[in-house]
Order: sequence, then C-alpha cells, then structure tokens
Amino acid sequence: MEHDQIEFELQRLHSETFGWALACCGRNRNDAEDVMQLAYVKVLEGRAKFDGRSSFRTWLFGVVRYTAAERRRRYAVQNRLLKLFFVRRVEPDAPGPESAIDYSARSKKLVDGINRLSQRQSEVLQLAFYHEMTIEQVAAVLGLSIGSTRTHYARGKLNLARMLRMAEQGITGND
Amino acid sequence: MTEPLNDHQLKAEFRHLRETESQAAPDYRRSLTGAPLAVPRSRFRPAMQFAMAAVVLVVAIAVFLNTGRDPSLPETADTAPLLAEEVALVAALEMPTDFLLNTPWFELARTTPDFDFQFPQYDIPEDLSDEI
Repeated sequence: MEHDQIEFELQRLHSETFGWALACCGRNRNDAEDVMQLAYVKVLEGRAKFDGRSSFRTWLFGVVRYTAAERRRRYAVQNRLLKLFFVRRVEPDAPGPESAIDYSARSKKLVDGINRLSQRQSEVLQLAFYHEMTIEQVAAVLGLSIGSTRTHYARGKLNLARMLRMAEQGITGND
Repeated sequence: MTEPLNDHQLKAEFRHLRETESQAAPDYRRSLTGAPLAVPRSRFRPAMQFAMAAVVLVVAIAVFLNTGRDPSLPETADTAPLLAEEVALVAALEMPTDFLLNTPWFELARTTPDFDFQFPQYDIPEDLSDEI
C-alpha cells in the first residue's frame, strides 16, 4: 500500500480510531491521543506493515490495541520502579477538565458500565456495537478464536445489562 | 435473572456514545504532529531530583578526596607511577645494616633442625588377633 493511500485511510478512519483508542485506554482522552499518535507514527514510518490479510480498519485497530497494551506495560514497569526506589505512589493520569469528554448522562452510564467489564468483554462489545464489526472481524482485531469471541460477547452483554440496570436503580458496584 | 440487552437497544446506546466521542476527536493533523508524546513530567520529577542529588553527592565526595592534591601541578617523583625497573631495584636493595640481624644461631631459628634420627623399625605381626 502506498504512503499516500495509507494516509488517506488513516484520515478517513480517524474519528473511529479515536473511539477505539479511547476504549483501549479506559476512556482516558490524553492516553488515547498519545496511543493514536504512536500508532499513526508506527504505520506511517512503516514499523507496522499492512499485509492485506484483513481490511485496513481491522489491521489498524490491531495496531492501536497493541500500542495501547505496550504503553500500559511500559508505564506499569516505570511505576513499579518508581515505587521501588522512591516509595511514592504514582497516581495514574486523571484527565484534566479541559481534556475530559463531555458525556451526557446517558453516555456516562454506558461508559461506567463498559469500564466495569473485563478488558476482553469491553473490547468485544466496543468493536461489535460501537464499530459495528462482525464477530469474525472482532476476533481478527483481538487475535482470538471465533468461539472465544462469541463467549466474551455473550457474557459481556449479560454483564453490561446488569451494570446498566444497577445504574438505573442507583446501585453502585461497591454496594 | 438479568436478561441480556436487546441488540438494538445496545446499538442505539453505543451509537449515541460514538456520536459524542467523534465530536471530541482531535483534528487528524494535530494528532499526527501535535503535542509531544506525553511522558508526564510529574512522573519523572522524583527520579530527576534523586539523580541530581546523587550527582551532587558524587561530585562533592570527589572534590573532598582530591583536596590534598592540586591537579594543576606537574607530576613529581612522589606522584609519578613507579617503573618496572625501579620496582626491581627497590626489591633487590640490601641495607648496609642487614648484617646486624645475623645474630649467632640465627640460622637455627630460620631452618628445621636435622638430627639425623630415624625411628626404629619393628616387625609387627600381621594378625594380632590370635595372640589376644
């Protein structure tokens, strides 16, 4: 794929990629922007190569997911070292008021529910419902078998329904 | 028991979320070239403070240990390293008063005496158990 074509595709999928990056970073906007930038640089510099085995979107989402995981691991190691040497708790970055996304009450309920799911379940539901992917495409992005993806999908839906009902009734997960 | 959400309901919820988030998406160009990749400075502040303190401490110790010697002075016979020949010369040096240590019987003190003595040889029977 030519460089110009890649850039065109990145631009076309930009807002969708942002949504996926947000999902990979627990809806932290700053982290999502960093991850997206890192992933774009990787793609444009050819460090991540598209081989055409899947659609560009599926592949790009895989790159974003991998980049987010890589970043999480790096920060986890840094935090562990900092705690080890400085005995100081390193708080995760909280999005500042200027960078926080202004969610409506309806969206906030859904975001809270998604954030309480396991990583896998939230990823599967995000890809299936937010990005309207098929189970096969979801499995390709996450590198899972189709059977396993179906299981996460079914359990995720059940758990999300439980979370949303609890939110409607005003019960928090800690109650 | 909790029923799974209707797929249409769920899709509608996610679509609403997607609309909200896509409005908040940064500009593509800004994402690509925007703010430098955030390595939050606050995370490194304690590390930097510690590193600076360590460097200052090491420099202070080095300065303290080096105060006796002015590095600007040329190397003198006291400070220059010894050559191999000089080392050999010093090792082979005999002081003129060394003979004073050679007191009478001094050799006896330095060597093991040999009295030309041999333990007597006895014929020991091979099996002593018969005699007991």
